[in-house]
Amino acid sequence: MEANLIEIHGLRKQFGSLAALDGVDLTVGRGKIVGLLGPNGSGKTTLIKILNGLLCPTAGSVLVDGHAPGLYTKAAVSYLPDKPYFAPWMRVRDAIELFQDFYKDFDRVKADDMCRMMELDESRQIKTLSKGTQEKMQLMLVMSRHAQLYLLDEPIAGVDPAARDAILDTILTNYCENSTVVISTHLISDIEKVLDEAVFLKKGRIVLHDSVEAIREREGKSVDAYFREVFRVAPVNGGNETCSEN
Amino acid sequence: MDFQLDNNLPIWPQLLERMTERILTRRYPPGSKLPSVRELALEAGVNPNTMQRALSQLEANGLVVTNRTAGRVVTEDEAVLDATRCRLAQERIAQYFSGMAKIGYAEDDAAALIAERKEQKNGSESD
Amino acid sequence: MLGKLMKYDLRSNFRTLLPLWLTTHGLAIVYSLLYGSRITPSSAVGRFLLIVLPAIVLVLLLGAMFTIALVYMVRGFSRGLLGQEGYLMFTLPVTPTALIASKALSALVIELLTGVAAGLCCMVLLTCNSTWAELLGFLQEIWTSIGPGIQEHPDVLPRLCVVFVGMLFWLLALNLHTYLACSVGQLSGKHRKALAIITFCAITILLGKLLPAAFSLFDLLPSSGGLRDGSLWALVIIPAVLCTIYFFATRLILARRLNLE
Repeated sequence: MEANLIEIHGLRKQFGSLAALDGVDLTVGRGKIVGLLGPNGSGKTTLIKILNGLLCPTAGSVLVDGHAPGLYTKAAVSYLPDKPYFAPWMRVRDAIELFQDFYKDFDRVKADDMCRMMELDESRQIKTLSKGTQEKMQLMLVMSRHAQLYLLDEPIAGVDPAARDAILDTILTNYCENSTVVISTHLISDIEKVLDEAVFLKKGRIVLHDSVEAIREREGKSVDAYFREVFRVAPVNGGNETCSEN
Repeated sequence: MDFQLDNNLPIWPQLLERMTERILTRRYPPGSKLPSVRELALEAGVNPNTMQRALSQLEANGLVVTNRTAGRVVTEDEAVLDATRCRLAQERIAQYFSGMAKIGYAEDDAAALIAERKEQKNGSESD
Repeated sequence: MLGKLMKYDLRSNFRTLLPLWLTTHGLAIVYSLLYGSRITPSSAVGRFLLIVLPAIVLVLLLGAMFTIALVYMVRGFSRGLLGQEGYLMFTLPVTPTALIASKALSALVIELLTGVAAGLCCMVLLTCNSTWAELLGFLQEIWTSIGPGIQEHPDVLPRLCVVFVGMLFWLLALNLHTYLACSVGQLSGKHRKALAIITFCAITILLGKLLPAAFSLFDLLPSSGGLRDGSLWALVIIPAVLCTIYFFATRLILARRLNLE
């Protein structure tokens, strides 16, 4: 077991002429909850896809627990995508059994318990569940694994505030000292209390990687407020015309 | 008593203060075992490492002791509790006066207001 | 791992295919009973409704069975691996090799079963005019003549086996040909379907040029009857080589240039 769970050096990912990731260096230890923060198009999803093996880097090295993305890392990484990814014919029970079939670290008892707490009927078809319930179900599956790295891509977007709290509680309850959770999101004020560290990603580069408390102390403001400062976009200005008085 | 945390300031000192308040108001009686870091973190909705830091400081301040078998236990040393209560009281008094100064009250005037308030309360009680 | 993947692939297919097959068989049996009961409708409308219409429906259903088997083969890959489900499939701790093999083999199983189902339907129809006794007698005749038949013509059975295996490889090659085209298609961002279709056609055209040359190569081998027949083995070896080429190319693309939506 390596000391650092994630080690990335000089990572580049090119899509044609667009550089989605442009020289990323990142080291993340264990037992941390890290926020991957940045506006849309900053490269968050690309970085996550490279970590879970869905994309290959154009250049640079990526190591998860000392291994390049492959069979070993796929068994060590638990990934929550921002969209549902189960076949339409599957019921909740089928999804649970699939995870149990393929992942040695899957805890069936925990999954059943979480279903019971969510009052989720395992015989229901996944596509008939509401969006919030689908998100919670997928999160439940991801968290029922005893993985080393949890990659959560926008786990609380498009979900009502009560469900958001439930999701954050689930993440906190499943915290483990040997594992790390990476949460990619742009809803920062909701999750910043839960984070250890924040990584700011801007146009494919890391502009900040620091402990959340250090940011608050140094900047005298919340991570959310500091984020708005760093990523401030000039408002669209149509000129100095005043509205006509008709 | 909710944790009511402000994201604009470091969280662990706020957690420290809330936990201190809980101990001073005997919500966690002297000698009792504190809930685990994980449980407290979940209740506060914060990262367990942050809660751990607050609890370590709580221990450094003497309000909590680590018992080898029972884990973190509230101190039974009344002297420490009294001293902490006094210290916090002085801090809050200072906060009161600085708050009043911001709206133009000198310390004497601000103190006079407190005496007035006390008299009014006594008056209404004896009615 | 391969077995587990195939279990899920087959399950997803059977959910719709089984009802389809059962319905078709049901209709075939009903039709054969109707026809066999020798009801002779007097009117033209009656004849149309009782004889012609069911026949048309059955033929359409049989055609549908094969079409659906092929559609499922394509969709199983393009949706099951390269669509939303791909996010699940490619993050499972399985190799791209296992994923591709599972899809190709499950599709092969479905194609074979469709053939068997269609064959059974046809048998039901063909024997609709006979009684049970006639049927049993016919089957017995076939059975008793197999033994002496094999002894008389000893090459037939092995040759048939080789042809059967060859047919399996050709079906597998069809599946993998489609998958390779889909994999090339997914390389493009916006024109996935168009690129896939173009690639499929391009490979087909290439095959059209190369296959006759390949077959003639096998013809050059000395043949002396029985299993020592070059052109017989061509039926197995050529599709097997194609399968290998398609498989490795597909695997290379999906392992290095995966581009899910």
